Amino acid sequence: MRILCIEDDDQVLDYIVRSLDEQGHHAERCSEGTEGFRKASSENYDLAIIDRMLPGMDGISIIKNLRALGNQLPVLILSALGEVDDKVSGLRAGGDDYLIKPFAFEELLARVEVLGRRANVIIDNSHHLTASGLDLDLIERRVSRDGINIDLLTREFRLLEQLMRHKGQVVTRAMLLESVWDYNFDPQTNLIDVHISRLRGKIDKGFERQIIKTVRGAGYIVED
Amino acid sequence: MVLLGLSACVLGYFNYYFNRDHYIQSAVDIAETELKYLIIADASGNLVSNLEKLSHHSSRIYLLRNPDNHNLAGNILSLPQEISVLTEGVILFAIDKRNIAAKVHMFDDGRTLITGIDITKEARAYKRLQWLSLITIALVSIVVIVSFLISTFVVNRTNSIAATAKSIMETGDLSQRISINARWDDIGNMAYVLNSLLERIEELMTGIRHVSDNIAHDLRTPLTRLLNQLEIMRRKLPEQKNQNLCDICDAAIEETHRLLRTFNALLRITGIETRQQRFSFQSVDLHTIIRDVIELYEPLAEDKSITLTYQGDHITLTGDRDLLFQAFANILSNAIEYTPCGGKVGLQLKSKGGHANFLISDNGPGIKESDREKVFDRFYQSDASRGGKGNGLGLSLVKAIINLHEGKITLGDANPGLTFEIIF
Repeated sequence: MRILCIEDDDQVLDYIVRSLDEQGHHAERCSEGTEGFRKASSENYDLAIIDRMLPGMDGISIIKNLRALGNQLPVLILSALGEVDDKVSGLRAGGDDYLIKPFAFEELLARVEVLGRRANVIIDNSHHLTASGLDLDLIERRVSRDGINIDLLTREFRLLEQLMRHKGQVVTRAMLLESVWDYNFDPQTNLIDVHISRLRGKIDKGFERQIIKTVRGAGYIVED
Repeated sequence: MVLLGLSACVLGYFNYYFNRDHYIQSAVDIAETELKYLIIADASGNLVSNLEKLSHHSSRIYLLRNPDNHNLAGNILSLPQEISVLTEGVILFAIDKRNIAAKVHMFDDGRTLITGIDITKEARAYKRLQWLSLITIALVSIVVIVSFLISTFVVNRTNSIAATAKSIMETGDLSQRISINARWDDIGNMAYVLNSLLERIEELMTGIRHVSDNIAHDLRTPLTRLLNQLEIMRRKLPEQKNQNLCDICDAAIEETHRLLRTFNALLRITGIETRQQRFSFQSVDLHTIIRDVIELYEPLAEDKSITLTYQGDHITLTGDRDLLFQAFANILSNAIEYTPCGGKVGLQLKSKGGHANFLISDNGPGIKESDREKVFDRFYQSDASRGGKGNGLGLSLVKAIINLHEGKITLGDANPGLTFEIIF
């Protein structure tokens, strides 16, 4: 993916760009707001990572201006401000995701891949999600594996749905908490792991192959 | 106060009473001696001549009467109408603007002899003394009333100082001040000085907090860089060859994450504590939030075979749903952590007298009464044996959030275990 990184802290910028390049993406650096806006609006990127506090033009203004031009470039906002209100205002301005500094690179990578993919997703009308024999009916809210029905609680269903929607991509614990529980908070414990292990107990029971895999240091992944 | 007033009255009264007797007694004694002398004179038949001789004394009164009230001798002709009897055989009367105290003697043959003494001077002195006594009583009464008023005033003011001090101790809110309207008196001045002291303490406390926040804030960036470097290093390590190194690197990354989480939590608490505006406040259903928290933590409880029970009413509150969720999550996760396997945790949400009342109780080891306030201190870990899994900031965050929502937390005893009550 071609990714534009606008960040004024050189060290952080360096780290992001280098790490993304290592993962096979092509990251472009920019450390000033106005310049960043010019690049984002004129060149063709798959995704932009934008810091909130920037010299020249702040991150929120860049996003607002982009959206005003009708530019739908997916944007991941980076911020040192951790308050929920900041997050809400960032997303309202047109940001697609929000990540608070400091972050683990795996967290950033997972979000970048999900966001980048979202941009390329061909919206299919099928209301089924499938992965290696597992079938989720999103309308009927039913789950089956190799034709055998599995009973899941509402929350377990949504957990599985999130993982399946991003099939082939790493979904981090924080992403799961945000999307499934819809509260912005810090659990301080390995809560998500406990929920995943219960979910595994249900969908893998009687099967040899484990569908949800743990990605060390990052999160979980469901693959075909 | 009452005692002082009472003793003044008693003193005044005794003054009045004893002096009255004393003043008259000396006159009565003289009259009595004379009377005895005259009785002896009568025995020798010299009574009338003696009386005539004595009658020249202007300060004396003598009167000798027949049984048929006929005057036989003396220097007055009759007794006035108004006569008061002082004691047995002693009478008081006024004649020619003179006050007389007299002794009466009845002879066996029916004659009456009255010997009197002019006590005008004494009576006047006595009158004066009587006035003095009254003035004393009045003055002391005034003193009593005034001192009562002053003490009421003082007590009211000291009570208001005590109330403020107590409220500061209970809420930990150092921004409170003693209300004073004047500092002309000592108490007002003391309140003013105490207020200045509180201001100084508040300044210092804020200073300390700022220092720790600044440290957290300033260390966050280098720590992030450290984390980044560690992660780069971890990715470059060939996993199969150097399993041991990989593990060490993972542990270092995890430790750095923990440090960062602690700093973030610290800054977050301060952020909430200093937040004045409530722009994120909206109408939220406490029942839904608590149910969601329980749903999230239920697997953790199940892993320890802890029974979770919940009874709740739908209660709407104006608040921040994410923060409230965080607060209840911290409370419940604490309860689950400290409840032994197979234990019970009960939650309850009720509407009581216009307030939302949340209660959670567990049957864990509880917290000693002396330690209950400390659990809200930053970095407080109740005791080492509990493992110290968290960073000691969980309940500080709860307190900050509940304070922001103007709620009150009370810790109690569940015999055994801990009750945690919040009233909004």
